[in-house]
Amino acid sequence: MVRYGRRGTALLSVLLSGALALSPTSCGSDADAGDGRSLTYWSMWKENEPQARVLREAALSFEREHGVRVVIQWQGRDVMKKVAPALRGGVLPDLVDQDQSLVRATLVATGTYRDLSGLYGADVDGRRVSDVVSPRYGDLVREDGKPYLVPYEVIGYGLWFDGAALPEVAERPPNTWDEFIALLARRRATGAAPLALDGDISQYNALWTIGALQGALGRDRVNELARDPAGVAWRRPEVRAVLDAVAGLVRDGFFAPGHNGSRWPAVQERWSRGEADFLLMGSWAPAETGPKARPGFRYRFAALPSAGAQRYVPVEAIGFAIPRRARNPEAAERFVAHFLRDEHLGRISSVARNLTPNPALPVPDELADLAEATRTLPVARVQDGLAQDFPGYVEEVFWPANDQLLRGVTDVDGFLERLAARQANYWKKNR
Amino acid sequence: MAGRSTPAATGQVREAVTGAPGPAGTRPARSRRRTAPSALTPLAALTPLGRRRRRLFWPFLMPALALYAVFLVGPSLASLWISFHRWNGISDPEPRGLDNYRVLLGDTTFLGAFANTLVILVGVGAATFTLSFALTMVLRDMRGRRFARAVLFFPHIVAPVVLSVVWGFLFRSPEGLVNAAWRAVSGADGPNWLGEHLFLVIVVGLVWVNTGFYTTIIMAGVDRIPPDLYEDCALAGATGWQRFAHVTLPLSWDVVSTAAVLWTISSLKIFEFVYAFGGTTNDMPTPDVWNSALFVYGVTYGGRSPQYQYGYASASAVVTLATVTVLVVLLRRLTRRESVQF
Repeated sequence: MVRYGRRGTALLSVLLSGALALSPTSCGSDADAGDGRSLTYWSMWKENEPQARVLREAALSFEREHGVRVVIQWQGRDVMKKVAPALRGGVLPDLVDQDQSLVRATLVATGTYRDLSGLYGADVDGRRVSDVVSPRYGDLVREDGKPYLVPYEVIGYGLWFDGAALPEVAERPPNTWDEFIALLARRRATGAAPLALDGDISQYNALWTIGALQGALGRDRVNELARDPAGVAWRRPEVRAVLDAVAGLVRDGFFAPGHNGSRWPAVQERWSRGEADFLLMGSWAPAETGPKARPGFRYRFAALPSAGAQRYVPVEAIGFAIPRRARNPEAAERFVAHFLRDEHLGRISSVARNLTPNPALPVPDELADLAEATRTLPVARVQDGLAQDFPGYVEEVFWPANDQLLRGVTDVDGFLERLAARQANYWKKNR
Repeated sequence: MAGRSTPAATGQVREAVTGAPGPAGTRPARSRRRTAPSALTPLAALTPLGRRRRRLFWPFLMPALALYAVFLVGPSLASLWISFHRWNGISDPEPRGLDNYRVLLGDTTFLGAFANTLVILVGVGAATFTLSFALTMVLRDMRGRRFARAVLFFPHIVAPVVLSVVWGFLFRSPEGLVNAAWRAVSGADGPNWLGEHLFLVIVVGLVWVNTGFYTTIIMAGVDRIPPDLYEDCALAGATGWQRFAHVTLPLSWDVVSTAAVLWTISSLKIFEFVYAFGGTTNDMPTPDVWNSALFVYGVTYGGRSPQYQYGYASASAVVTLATVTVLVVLLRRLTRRESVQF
């Protein structure tokens, strides 16, 4: 894996400047138009992933129908890190895909994305793109009202459990935090470890804290707390109460052993073998844990119970974006519209076993509860959009403080103190 | 050369060990800098050979100089220039004067990373060298030492990513091997290594990875020491420590000081082990265990949504580079000794 160290950065800068100086034709080539006979697409998938299969077959079908060849490069998850240097001066793809946070951090933050308003009005088998992509997802991927992404896969977050082992929970999942705690206490009394958490992954820890806060305070409120330059907004009593509830999960020993000192995927594997009840995770959970799950495991989903009035389903969209300087943007848009047809997009569900942004399409059995939840409950951005809106914030500010809270190393006061100091430091250098 | 010692050196050893002067009160021989015939001295220029050498000076020098300029001097100067700007790598750089440096010196994340770098440099360095010397002393007389040396060197060859996976298995709690052993011996649960003492485990890991490498280097230096000096020690009744302090260390000093500089420079570039061991599949390690190299990565490409702050990262690289330069110069001064000829 290529990582760039101190030298690497310096070298890269010079190479960039060199490329800039040596290739006046590629720089500022907004006027350069492609021939429209082919388009390049850098994908976040690896060739052997099911999504890649679906996309490749859609590309072949597009070529047959429109005579435009889609040249796909399977770049993998680091695709935006490869796009970034090319944005200044270099050969850019006409189409890329990644999750909304990374597209926002790379293309939107630098003002190099193409406004996809036109594409949202394009035709897909007699419907418009904006009809196919549910507005609940389409609205989450806009900057100043202009869409920068067309989602084709949706990740939803919540509690996963084995419906075969917990039929009464599957029947009536807990709605409120109190019901949830009562359920956990009952489960613990039977000797079961109620909650599974691979706490070395900071994002999994954050799903608990931010999920609980979203429910209690409402959507986008955590995002506001993070914007406070002094970092003291978190000390409000209503925030504190929720933090205390989260810390209570640790205090009361609801997390299965290993949550604070083991290595992923140890705990989630134990969960899939039936050694813990609930796993708070994204919709990749069934696919990731399925191969090791005990026979008869029935994947069920419930939105995280709320410590307030409303439950939310945190979601994150994965989709297509087009760099502003792309040479064949029209062809790329035509391909995106082509891919959104039911026969292609439906395979994201049937082949890649994931949720699509089109609620009318069938969903995989194991995601049926999640699909239902996204229809009946309001959606919110995962981690309340912190990673998306404030690059580096979760890594430098929230995660280090929150990890300690979820490990039981610190209490709410310690968390607030650490968070405030780190947040103040973050805003001092980012504004 | 190895296997033969001058009377002067032997005398010095005896003097050091027993306090008695060596034969005939000889002073230890000192190495003398030889003046190499320079291609540029007027005298050399007069001879036909000198003239030919002079003509060839630049053609021979240019390729290396050009490569050095393009790949080292250029990028370093570019970093310096970028460090005075706010630059996301995409839009035009925006001049910021010294602001990046001002912010940097108040940035607790950077200061923490810098402190970790120094802990690695000094702490890991001291532990590595102490261990390397200890191993050298043990291995010197051991049977099968080639094999032992190969085993010791092994961690240095294995990819840090692989090591970090193995270390993950060792130190995870409660089910890791280390804590299983801990329980077997003490009956109590061991510490939460990864959750609460991650940096300590990283430090120990780095010592383990590097000890084999520096043992090999130091042993190469110690192997050159003529065995009769040690026989001399034995005759003089020297203890193990005296043997080390008066023979081994002074006679391998040039190797040790070079190794120290090597370590200083390479310790600042440590990246993969911390990254792979401290981090997870998609994320960087927590900033608590970052060193300067990880800081640079963290504020440019790292993280789920990268920060792309090239100006700021360059400033931190410049600060680190400046510190290292000072440290290396200091280290060279501190370790400067007249090398003992033997």
